[in-house]
Amino acid sequence: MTERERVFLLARIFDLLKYALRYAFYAWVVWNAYLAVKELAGKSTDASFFFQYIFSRDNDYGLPWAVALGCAMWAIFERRFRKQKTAELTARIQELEKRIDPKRTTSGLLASGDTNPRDEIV
Amino acid sequence: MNITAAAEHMELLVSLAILVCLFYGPWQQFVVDVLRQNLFRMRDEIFMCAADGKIGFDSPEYQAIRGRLNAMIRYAHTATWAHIFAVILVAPKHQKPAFNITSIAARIPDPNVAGMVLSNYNKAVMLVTATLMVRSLILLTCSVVAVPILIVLALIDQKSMERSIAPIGDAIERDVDSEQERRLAAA
Repeated sequence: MTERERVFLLARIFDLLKYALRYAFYAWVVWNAYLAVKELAGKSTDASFFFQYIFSRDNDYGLPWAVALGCAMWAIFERRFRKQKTAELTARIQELEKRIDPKRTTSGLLASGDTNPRDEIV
Repeated sequence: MNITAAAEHMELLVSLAILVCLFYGPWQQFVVDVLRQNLFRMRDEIFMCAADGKIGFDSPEYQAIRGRLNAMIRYAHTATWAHIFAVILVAPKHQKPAFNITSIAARIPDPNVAGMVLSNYNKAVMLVTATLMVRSLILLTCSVVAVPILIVLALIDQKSMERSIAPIGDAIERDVDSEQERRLAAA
């Protein structure tokens, strides 16, 4: 096995450990949610109670969640706009630079600045 | 557990899960984008030097530096502690990376350009190191304690600090070499 292959294999093992820890955490969240719901089994529950709780005065009328949702939407649109603008400017910059250096080399990223799908970690 | 406590518990769990998803999703992409933007800026600086005639577009030094920055930009998304740690463990000790910015900069006729190239390249390696830290939840948490200590150490003895972080810089360069070779072999 070459040094390059050993590095890749070891890095993938570390990555797998990270994924295992992350999904173990998600499994723990789901398990705790299940236990919480199970605890309420047989007791009188009202599905609308959760909504009443979210929008209650004790929960600040759900405003923190509304703010979080608003910020998330803004971030998504801002990011989309930034990538569109990057793609538009990239074409112009490449053309201008090629007029100065016809043998100009490229980084290999997509026009939007995203990683080339061929280079994604497999 | 009453229903109010259950609802609070669920809210906490959902919030934690969203935070973890945010850290391992959009945050990772954002950090890589910031690193790439800084590397592009450095690449543009050397391009402008060449456009001003301070270094030739056809010179081996310009080609080597631009190629290196292109590779760092292209494979920025693979800059994780897992890769760097793997390189540090596997690479033969005391074997320097093939790419030597110092010898390349020494061949540049214009001393100002040579100084700029050396300074920018070292900054690029520092940026990649910083990216590794902020992409990892554990390293980010540890850095809250470690960074003030590192700053104090740097103020006391900068040379020792540079020597102690040099293996990380070497590992980053070897990782870029390794990634380029692996992709070429797979192509």
